Amino acid sequence: MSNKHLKRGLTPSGVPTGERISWECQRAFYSCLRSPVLAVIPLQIAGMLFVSPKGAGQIYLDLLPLLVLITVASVFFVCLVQGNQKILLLTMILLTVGTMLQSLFKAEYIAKNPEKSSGRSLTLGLQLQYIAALLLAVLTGFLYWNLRECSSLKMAEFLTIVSLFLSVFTLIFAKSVGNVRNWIVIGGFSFQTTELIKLLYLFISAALLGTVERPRKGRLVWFYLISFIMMGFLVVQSEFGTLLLLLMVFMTYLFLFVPDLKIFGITAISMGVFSGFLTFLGIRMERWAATGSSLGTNPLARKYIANFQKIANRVIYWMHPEKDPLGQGYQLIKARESIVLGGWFGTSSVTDLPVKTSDLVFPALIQRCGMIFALLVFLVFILLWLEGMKVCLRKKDKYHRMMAVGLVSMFFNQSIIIIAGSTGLCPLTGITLPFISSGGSSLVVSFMLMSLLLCISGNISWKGQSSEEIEFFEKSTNCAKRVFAFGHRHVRGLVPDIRSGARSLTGSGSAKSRSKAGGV
Amino acid sequence: MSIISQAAIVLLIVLTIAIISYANKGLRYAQEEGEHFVDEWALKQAKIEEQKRRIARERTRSKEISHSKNTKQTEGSGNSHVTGDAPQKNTIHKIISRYRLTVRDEEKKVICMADVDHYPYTIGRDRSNDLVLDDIYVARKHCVILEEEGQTILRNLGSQNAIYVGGKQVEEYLLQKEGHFYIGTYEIIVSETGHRSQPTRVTL
Repeated sequence: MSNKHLKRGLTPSGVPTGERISWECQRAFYSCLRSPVLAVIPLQIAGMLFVSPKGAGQIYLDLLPLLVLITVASVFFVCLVQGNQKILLLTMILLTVGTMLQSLFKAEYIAKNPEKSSGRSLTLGLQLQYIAALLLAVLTGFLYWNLRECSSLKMAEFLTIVSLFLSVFTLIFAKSVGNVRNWIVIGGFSFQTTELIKLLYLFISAALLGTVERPRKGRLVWFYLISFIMMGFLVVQSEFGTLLLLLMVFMTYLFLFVPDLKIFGITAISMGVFSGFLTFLGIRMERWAATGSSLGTNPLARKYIANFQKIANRVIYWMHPEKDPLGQGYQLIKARESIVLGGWFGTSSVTDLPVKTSDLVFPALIQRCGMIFALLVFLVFILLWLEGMKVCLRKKDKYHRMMAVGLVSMFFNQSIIIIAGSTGLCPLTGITLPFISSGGSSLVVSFMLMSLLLCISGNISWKGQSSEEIEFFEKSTNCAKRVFAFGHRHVRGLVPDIRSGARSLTGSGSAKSRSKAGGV
Repeated sequence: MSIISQAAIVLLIVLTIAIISYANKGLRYAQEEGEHFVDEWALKQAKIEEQKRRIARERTRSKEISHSKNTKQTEGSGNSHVTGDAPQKNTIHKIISRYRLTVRDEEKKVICMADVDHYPYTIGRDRSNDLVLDDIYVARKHCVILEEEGQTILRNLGSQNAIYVGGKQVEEYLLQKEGHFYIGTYEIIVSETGHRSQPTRVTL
């Protein structure tokens, strides 16, 4: 019995054997050596040229080996799971830009406060963040491949409890930064729990709606309930940026994965009515508070008025930031100033831009590197969205589709909201630009998000394949070796044309889509 | 100092564009490699399934043949049309002329081939047709191939996107030894495979 299983490349418990793993690793090694993603490394080295005249050369040099290490390791892992390398490439470009900017900011910070710079301790924090992010990303991918149960309802229950616990924990023990209470400090490390909660939300909703073809009433009710409870906790923490993100993903899921369009329509309309009612209530309450009636002065009403005024001020000072140039409109005015200063190719003059490392990172990018480069970065975000959507279209499994759509739309919406907000196209909210803003929790969660997306895009499944096939893996390894030695075009003749055979068997429709996906 | 960093920005811009465009080219091959890998799996699974299906089909066919032998002997009528694949003895037997339809898409790729092995032979988008062409320009029941007075005729079934022969819209088309017509975006080539109609042969 065991012999038979060994022949198949699987042990009785379904784990791949050592021989298979060794073949796969060899294949990954050879295809990784030829991978075009490694072309990012020259970009990372060229970043040195940009950074060093501005006095941040030493800091960037400390981070450069880590960047290269992250690139090589991630290319290897992506080759191992046959993932979508374009996503990886775009991610790596973003990470490089982010590292450049962060080292610049660090250098400016040191130049401003020379007494706080104690040698290497400043870069050590960034290095630790990068290492932790890489390790957690690999761990996440590994767990996603190996835990089949992550799509089960029990897991959804467990994750719901975890996220609710995290929310409650944050509410009680959180440290507030800029009147938003969502930072947990454990032994010197601070972590933003909302970043994790938005990732957990994807898993929960995918497990609820993605595992059945037509979700029944019970599941839908649970989905609504969990979504609104989570959003409610975010409201209590007055974290409206993440709330907006969750709302967008919620509506996307309703639109794409609940077959009844009626439900989507009713939800959208009732939400609009509800938000109108809330606005009306806010205006009323302000009046009650002004007249001094007990309806406007009890603590609940005070909290409500505070939140309402926060949002209203965002909108008002987005329209006219010059009304309060030193208070509410200060950030936006400074952001516009730095955009104008940056011009097409950037400037080396430094202005006093507030929260430039996290919220207003995009205007800071325009100021340092110029509009053209910033537009390129924006293009990279758009390309990432396109590739993610391709992953979703290629998958046949509803659960994976849902995960891919959620991950991509969360990533893209986040970047769009903050880019538009910081350049003055929509009201500014306090969320981070993934990979470019500073912040350990944001970086870690962005890494995890991308590793999940790459795992979903992967073509291999490690479990549950039952064929004879050590030979198969050997053959593909040899093919990769030949590709490494001679290049793709020369190997084509040597490999039997299997794709055409597969086409004839699977039918013309899938062949068409496949050729589109391959870009032929 | 600032000139160096300005030049470096231009370098970065050029490098980023170069990397994205280079990777787009190179990754096409890499992605194909990955798909190759998957396709090989898919092909293997499909082959296994195909074998299973073939075995099942053969079983059912042998059952049908034994069944039809019993029924047709009792009926003994001349109307029955018989597929050319399995000529049966002890029945009134007519070998009809058989045409083969080769369907090509816009890029002149051959999508499928079908033998007209019985009449009426229907073509359309609906699943219940004998030849299913999945295209928005094809009606659910587009046309039918009939045998009338010894001739094989393709007839439009009232669809607005009619049959096109040589750039003209026609309602009827006489199938001959060679020829081709268009339905929707598909080109269909007619070729003859079997025999011309022969006198009815009775073997008892």
